[in-house]
Amino acid sequence: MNDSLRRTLWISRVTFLEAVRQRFFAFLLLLGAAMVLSSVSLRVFDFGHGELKFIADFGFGGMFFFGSVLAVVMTAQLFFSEIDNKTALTLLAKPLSRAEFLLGKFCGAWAVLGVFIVVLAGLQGIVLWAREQELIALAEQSGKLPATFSVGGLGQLILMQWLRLGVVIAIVLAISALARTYSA
Amino acid sequence: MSPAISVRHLTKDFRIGIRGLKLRAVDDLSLEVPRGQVFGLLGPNGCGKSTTLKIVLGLVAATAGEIGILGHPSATSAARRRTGFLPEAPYFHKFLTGRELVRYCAQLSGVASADLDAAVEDALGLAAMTEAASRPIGTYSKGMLQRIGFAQAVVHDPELVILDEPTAGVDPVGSAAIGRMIHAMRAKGKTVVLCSHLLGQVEQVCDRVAIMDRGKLVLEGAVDDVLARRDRHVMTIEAMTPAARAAAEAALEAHGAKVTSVTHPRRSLEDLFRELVTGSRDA
Ligand SMILES: Nc1ncnc2c1ncn2[C@@H]1O[C@H](COP(=O)(O)OP(=O)(O)OP(=O)(O)O)[C@@H](O)[C@H]1O
Ligand SMILES: [Mg+2]
Repeated sequence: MNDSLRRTLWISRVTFLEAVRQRFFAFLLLLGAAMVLSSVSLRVFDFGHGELKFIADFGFGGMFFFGSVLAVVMTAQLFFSEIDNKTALTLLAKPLSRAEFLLGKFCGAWAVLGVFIVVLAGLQGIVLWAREQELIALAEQSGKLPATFSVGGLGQLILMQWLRLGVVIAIVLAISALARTYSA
Repeated sequence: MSPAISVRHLTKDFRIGIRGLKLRAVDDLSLEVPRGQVFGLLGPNGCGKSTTLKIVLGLVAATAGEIGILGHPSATSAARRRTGFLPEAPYFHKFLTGRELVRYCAQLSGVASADLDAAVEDALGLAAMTEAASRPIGTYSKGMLQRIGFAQAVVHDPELVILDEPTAGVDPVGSAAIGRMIHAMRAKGKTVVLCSHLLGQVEQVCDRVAIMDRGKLVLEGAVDDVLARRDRHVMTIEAMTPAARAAAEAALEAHGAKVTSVTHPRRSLEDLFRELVTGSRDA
């Protein structure tokens, strides 16, 4: 059991390294970052909680979208290029069960998305914080209550996004596995 | 001791298309690979060599027949730990470096972490890949891909090494190097099974050969037995003159022997190539 866990971890690790080194990952990360940064330009004129929430929704929406693209491409690559290209053949000849292989791939892909989300959400946090400072300054001038966002809330959002993307990977994995058993 | 591989009445049908048309890739094949030898599996394209090897390794399910590998029925985890495999036309993770790949394969094959570094460097050294080991695999030439594939197949010091076309796309100098790696494995008492279309090399490297055609076994035996024509003899003569030749023929005829052909020995293109070329840049 312990060995099995270790093998799964090694597969995850290599899946992670491979994905992170691809240009596609950097490309999507840049796109996501551009999206998050562009949310700075969003201005809603009620100067309050609404605006910060709007920025956050916009940013996390983008993250989920690009994250899903990444999830689908990574998983599809596993089935349609790795298994058909026989990369997997080398691995499946090792003392390794198919469950370990698939679980390892899943965890690796999920970890990649974790990094993706954390980086973008970090950026998003900075954007929100900067806007919050502006709003606080404005609120002090006009005597209204200052708007705030909480780090805990951001953490919750990150976790939510990550779980949702995990579900996306699992679904794509299940569909491709089914498609393969029926086509091969 | 049980043979390294035993295959009994192996048959494999592939279903093609939705109508389920059957294609018989391997047809009632029975074969035994003794331990400690280099065994060559030959045959034309599509005769079922790779399919047979994949079934032996448990990567493809057989339609009928029995497999034994190192005394285990089929490729159990225990058997796989003692087996190394180089698939044909190997594709590996392009973004890993050679060393990372070999290390990863060593870990998956159960090399203890204390021995890991030494095992990885040994395998890289054996495959002459130490220099290029820190480059991403995506930048390798075909010959280097085959050699890193070899390193990944032997890193866990397996008893049985299965190589599917280890010299495909490799230049003659490189394939001579792979031939030496195979000999090195045999010298350590390992069993090596290989497929190749380079018959000249197979003849030099293998102890036994089996020839398949359309999924069936057509010949199996020790290379020396299969190839020697014990009813014919070849002499190589230097400084021959027509007079000497006539005298020699007369002398042979006096004993009832007959000279049927006199030709000049040719060296093979491969030998010539190897004489002229020192080695590929990445060898
Ligand atoms: N996954 C598959 N689905 C359907 N047919 C297959 C499959 N794999 C192999 N075949 C068929 O089985 C036959 C044997 O293939 P195999 O790859 O074993 O040949 P081979 O002897 O290794 O040939 P080569 O020398 O070209 O490598 C071929 O006719 C091939 O088309
Ligand atoms: Mg083949």
